[in-house]
Amino acid sequence: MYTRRACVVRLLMLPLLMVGCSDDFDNSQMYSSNGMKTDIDSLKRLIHLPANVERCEWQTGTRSPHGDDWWLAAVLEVNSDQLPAFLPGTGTREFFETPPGLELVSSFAALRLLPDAHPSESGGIALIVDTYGVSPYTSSPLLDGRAIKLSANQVFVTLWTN
Amino acid sequence: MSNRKEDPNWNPRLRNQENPHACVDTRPAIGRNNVMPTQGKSVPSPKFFGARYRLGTAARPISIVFDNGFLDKFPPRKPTAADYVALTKWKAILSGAESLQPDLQDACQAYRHFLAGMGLPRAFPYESYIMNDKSAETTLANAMLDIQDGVEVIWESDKAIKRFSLTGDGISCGSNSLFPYPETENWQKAIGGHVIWLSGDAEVVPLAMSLFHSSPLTEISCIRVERVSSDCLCSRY
Repeated sequence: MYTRRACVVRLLMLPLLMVGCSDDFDNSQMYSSNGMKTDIDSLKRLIHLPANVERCEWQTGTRSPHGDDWWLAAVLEVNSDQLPAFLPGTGTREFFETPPGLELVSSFAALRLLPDAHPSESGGIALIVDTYGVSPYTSSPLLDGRAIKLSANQVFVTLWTN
Repeated sequence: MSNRKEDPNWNPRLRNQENPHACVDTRPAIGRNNVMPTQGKSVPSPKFFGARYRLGTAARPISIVFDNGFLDKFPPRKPTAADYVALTKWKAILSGAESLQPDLQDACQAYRHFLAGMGLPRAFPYESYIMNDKSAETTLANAMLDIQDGVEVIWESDKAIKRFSLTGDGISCGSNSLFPYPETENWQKAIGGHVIWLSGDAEVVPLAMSLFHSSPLTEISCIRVERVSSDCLCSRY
């Protein structure tokens, strides 16, 4: 049983999505906890991208079996000149954990190589790292999250619902 | 003995571990005496998690904003017959769950408010969450630790102040093991991920028989909890 308005909104919106938007919006992808996606246009429907992204890989997943909260994580390959647009302000050194169910494969495997990275209780990666705000990326209902610099031209960003 | 400025791994939970003259920390958890901060080597220093605090009375962080579901992405439309069928179905499921699943009491109350609450805020006792979900215990314990650390940071920046109020920014609960997602199905469905923010008052008192000449004591006057999703839950603890 779902308990929140968002669930009902999804139910109410489902026919519209299936009938009116089925050509360009695959709703089933949004709630799958597995599977790597590389479609930038689909990513743009869920979050804002502050500048041009040359390549991306992204995943979505849920926080728990029963709640309806979900997360999105992406590794963005960008032009190094535009990195400040993707990592706004100065970083805050803080504790960070990857979301549960995130597959640490392909470009996401770079998270394992960050200094201090170690296994988290949820089976992901935990580390203390410089994190950046996600205001350039937020789009309802994904309004909270963190961004991390992986390399001179790679950014990891994760956003979640609350 | 280590201190905050010299030791990059300074951790208040460990600060007196080798001090034979250390005073016992008798600060009780608000509302429940057996809640202890999360312990263990894997728990980082509070300076690496939680909120940033500043002097002042309680002020709701402007960073907490309510979402609008997916309604920003699709234009509104009139409900179809299928929508009404779905609504009827979920109302029936709710009624069934209220009768048959007392373990989902809080979840059902939240969902009923969603269906009938006309979008108004809903208050619920955060104590109930803390008393019935292990994740909430961890959240409370680390929240207490966080604001206590915030008090000490403020006090150490100006040790002349003897009494002050402080307020912090939002802490997202559900995104890591220090502020974890609710563990029980009931609370996963009732509140799920949420944001808390803390404010409190602190008074500096001298501590006898201690290597510290004085230390701030913290009273958490309020932990405010907000569910920023569209069902608009909020609570005070």
